[in-house]
Amino acid sequence: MRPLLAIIIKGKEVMFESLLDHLYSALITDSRYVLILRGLRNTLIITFFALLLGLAIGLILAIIKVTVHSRRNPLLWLANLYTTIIRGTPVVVQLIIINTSIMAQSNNKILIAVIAFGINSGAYVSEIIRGGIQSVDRGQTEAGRSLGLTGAMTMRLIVLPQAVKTVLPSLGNEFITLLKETSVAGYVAISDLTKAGDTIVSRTFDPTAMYLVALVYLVLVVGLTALLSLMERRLARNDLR
Amino acid sequence: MISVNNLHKSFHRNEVLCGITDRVEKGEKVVVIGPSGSGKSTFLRCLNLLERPTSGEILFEGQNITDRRCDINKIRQKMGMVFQHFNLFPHLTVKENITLAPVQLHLKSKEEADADAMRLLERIGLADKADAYPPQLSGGQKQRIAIIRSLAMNPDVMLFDEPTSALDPEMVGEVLELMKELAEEGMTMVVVTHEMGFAREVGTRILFMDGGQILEQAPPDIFFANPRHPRLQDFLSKVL
Amino acid sequence: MKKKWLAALLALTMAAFAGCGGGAGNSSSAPESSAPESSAPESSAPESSAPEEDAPAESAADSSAGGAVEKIKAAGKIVMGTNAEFPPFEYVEGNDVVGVDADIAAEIAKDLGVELVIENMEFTAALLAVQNGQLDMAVAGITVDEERKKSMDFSNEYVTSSQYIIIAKDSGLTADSLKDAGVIIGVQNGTSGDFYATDDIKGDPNTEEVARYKNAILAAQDLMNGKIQAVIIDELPAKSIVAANEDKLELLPDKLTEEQYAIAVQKGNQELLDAINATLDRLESEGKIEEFLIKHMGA
Repeated sequence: MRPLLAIIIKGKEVMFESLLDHLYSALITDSRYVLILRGLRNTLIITFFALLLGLAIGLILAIIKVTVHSRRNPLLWLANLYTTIIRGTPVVVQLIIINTSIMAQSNNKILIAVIAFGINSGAYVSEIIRGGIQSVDRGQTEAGRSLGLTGAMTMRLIVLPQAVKTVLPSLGNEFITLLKETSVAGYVAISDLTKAGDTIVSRTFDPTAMYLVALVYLVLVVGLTALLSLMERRLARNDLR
Repeated sequence: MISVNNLHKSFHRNEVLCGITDRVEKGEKVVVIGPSGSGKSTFLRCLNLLERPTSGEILFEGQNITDRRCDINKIRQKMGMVFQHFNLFPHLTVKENITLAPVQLHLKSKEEADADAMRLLERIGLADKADAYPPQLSGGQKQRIAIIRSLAMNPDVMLFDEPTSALDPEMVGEVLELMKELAEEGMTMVVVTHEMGFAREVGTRILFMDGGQILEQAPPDIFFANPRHPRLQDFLSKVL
Repeated sequence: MKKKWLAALLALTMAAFAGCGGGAGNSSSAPESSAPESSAPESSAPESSAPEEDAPAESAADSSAGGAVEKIKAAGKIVMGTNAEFPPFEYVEGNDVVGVDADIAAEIAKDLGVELVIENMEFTAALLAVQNGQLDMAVAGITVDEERKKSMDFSNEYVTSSQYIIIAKDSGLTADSLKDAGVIIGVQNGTSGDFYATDDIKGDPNTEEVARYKNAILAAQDLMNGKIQAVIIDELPAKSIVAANEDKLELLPDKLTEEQYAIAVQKGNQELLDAINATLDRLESEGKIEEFLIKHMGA
């Protein structure tokens, strides 16, 4: 029994030591954790501002889609074209096109990423919000308008607040998707979190850094999910129907 | 006050209003009755342009509101509307429901609007619900709040679109009571309803609509005692 | 040349998804390949009528004691990993991965009497996958260095290369000026050009002035648009890129490094290494490698 036990303990020690070795070379050697932290910062900046841009674009498109009734209106035509093109092509292709053509003159890679992912997210957000607006009973609009409120006021004060509540879970999903989609930013040499992992792995020939990167994404997504369900519960408080 | 001239309304190819002409004078309480699908709700909804007429004219206080240049938002401030399904704003408190439009349209300051809202709520005995949300109220309470929400705009006329049809029977009374009070205070009213008792008691003139036309109109005593049109006779024999 | 750019763009779009999977993936699952598996014989068919082609293969087989090579023969295929964004060594033409490395690998497969399967993936993913034994070999213009030797075994060297600097035409930059703050150097992530720029030029493992691209072509695009100031990449890809954009780019004459390419196999797989070396020796003596280079540089 003794020798066997000793072997097991020894084995565990070896495993533990080798884990430490892997972590050491993934994070401490050459201060590689700096790359991860910088990547994390860039991923968060890109996601946050792309999210704001996506919401703004999505809101405008959604309002065009629900308020313009004439099918020949060029605004509606443009809004639908935008959604079709953006949803019909992969985000990484859009990123490359924006980097090499549309924003060819810009040196600000983070800005390029924000715009590329914001434009992409906007198309998805517009469909989500459009669904939300259409889910609000028509009687709400009629009540607002019959009190003398303008169409814009009715939309802003009555329809949108109710629509937001219905679409919050879908928007939350979209944001989580967006966070993960920014991982293709490295394609055009943007140092995001995934790229940081990739760069470290190319030095260590060991995937430990990628496991750590996966863990960071996971923590971010779980945190975001918790935050969203908290918001949902807050909003559901006054909705007892 | 409201003058309707040869009003037509079609949905796609289906003509719902086939030439309505009528005048509502100040202080009148016009009650519109008729079978379902007769066009009476569409007629009411045309009066504040929730439905845009296909042709014909509507004049309100001398202004042609069917004219595209007319600012319909201004007109609607003077025409209160009460819906079958209340249409309270579920994300706002009762008080916010009442003060939203007057404050947003800069007709009242926030304080004035709050004070007016509380006075109106006290009048209907629901002051304690000021901070409640609509989903927490009964149907009768919702409809009475919808009525005072319109009153807070100080309208010249009130339009009622089947205000009691969605209510449980035991709540119909409280809503009709409030409408009766309004009538007694001299409010001009156009009411689409199936409540014949209310029509008889409160109405100054009853319109009978069927097939998109006004087939008969008269003061209530004559209207109910001596119906002339065979379709009205038939209708009354079923509902009375 | 325009067309090739487009083909490359299309290919790298497809490879991206393989790349993400391979990079972040766990080490136990097979490498995710997106690019169609191409068996290369088609592209190398014209050269296949060389004399005495059987002899070296047999001697290679003789020296093996069963095991790795036997397994490959039993499976009837040898799996090669590469990153087809590195012309002329590997690039995509139509649906197939072609290039000098693909031609060499086809010869190895032929000598073993098996089919060649090419997995197109990220460069760094290919290096990881060969260590784990998910690939039989990585043939991707891999520079032999001491660091890499610790985690994988290398064949005989088959090409000598150097890192070269591409700059925008008439920008007046020199090899020395790349050290300066504000000069951003584009590289392909995880290549020896990346390491040289990071360690030797900028001298800081966490520098923000080395931009790591998925491939050198994207880096060159950014160079032409003035987003970065230089690109460091291996000699032959550098020449291919400059040749395609002569009006906008120029190559500095400085050879930054002296390095050799070799084929990587899993550490300890001496048997397969012997077979590979036998084929490489044969190709060398027949002048085939030179022939492949000429063929693909002209492509």
